[in-house]
Amino acid sequence: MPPVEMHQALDTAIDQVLTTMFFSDAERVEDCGAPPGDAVRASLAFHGEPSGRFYLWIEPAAARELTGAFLGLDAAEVHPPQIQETVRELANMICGSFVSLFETEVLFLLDAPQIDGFDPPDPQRCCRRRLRLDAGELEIWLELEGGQS
Amino acid sequence: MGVSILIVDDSAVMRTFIRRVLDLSGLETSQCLEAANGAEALEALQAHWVDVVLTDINMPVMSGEQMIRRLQQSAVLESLPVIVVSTDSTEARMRQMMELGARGYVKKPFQPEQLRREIERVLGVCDATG
Repeated sequence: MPPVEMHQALDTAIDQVLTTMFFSDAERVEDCGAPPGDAVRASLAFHGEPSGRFYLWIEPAAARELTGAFLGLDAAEVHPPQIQETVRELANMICGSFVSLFETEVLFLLDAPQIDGFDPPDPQRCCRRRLRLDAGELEIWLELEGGQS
Repeated sequence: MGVSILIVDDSAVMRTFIRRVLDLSGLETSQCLEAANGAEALEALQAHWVDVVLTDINMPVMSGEQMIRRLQQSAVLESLPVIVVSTDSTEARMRQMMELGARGYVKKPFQPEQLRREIERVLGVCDATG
């Protein structure tokens, strides 16, 4: 899979999900330093053509803001379990949208997203996108099997 | 008289979002029931009739695919319209679900009007305002 095509598909998936489901815009940022220690993290594996792993972290304030937007609530009204579940849905939808953009005749499967810490993948093997939302930053890493990132 | 809907998704926040989107779309609903998986949905349908079921595919306990198969085996429920609402929009998956008996398909992410149009299309409801 050509890297340019993969980057474009990931950008399209991110934009579609954030604007359509979360009513939010994001600005791409180039700084790719380490994620903050208190970031909410999600990861999931996907199996098909392609197969790989999807990672996401988001700053807590941004996660809260997105959850409020998703549920139609003020950010101050949302509860931690709702935030975790919303971040799982965010990861699921972006990953699913990305894989669906490479539509094939092969069925694919997404594992259930997990909210937990993860070891950052090798940046050389990943397509990375860091974004600035109104309330904080979000970063996505996409690692394909075979290292075609 | 509004549309009676059963929303089937293992994510409580997604069920809330779909409810919200139905409101935003302007679709008149008489009731919105919820179920966290296919088994809960089948149980709900024993007690409540609905006009349409909106279902995710991948769910624990009983998937959307398994639920649709069970509905198709019921003389009473086989005619109940089911619309799949999923992140998976590959041709292969859409074909699979439609062949199983789903009447409609909405890909996540979706605009409110997309969901409303698909519900109205499946139910054969014409929007008087075009």
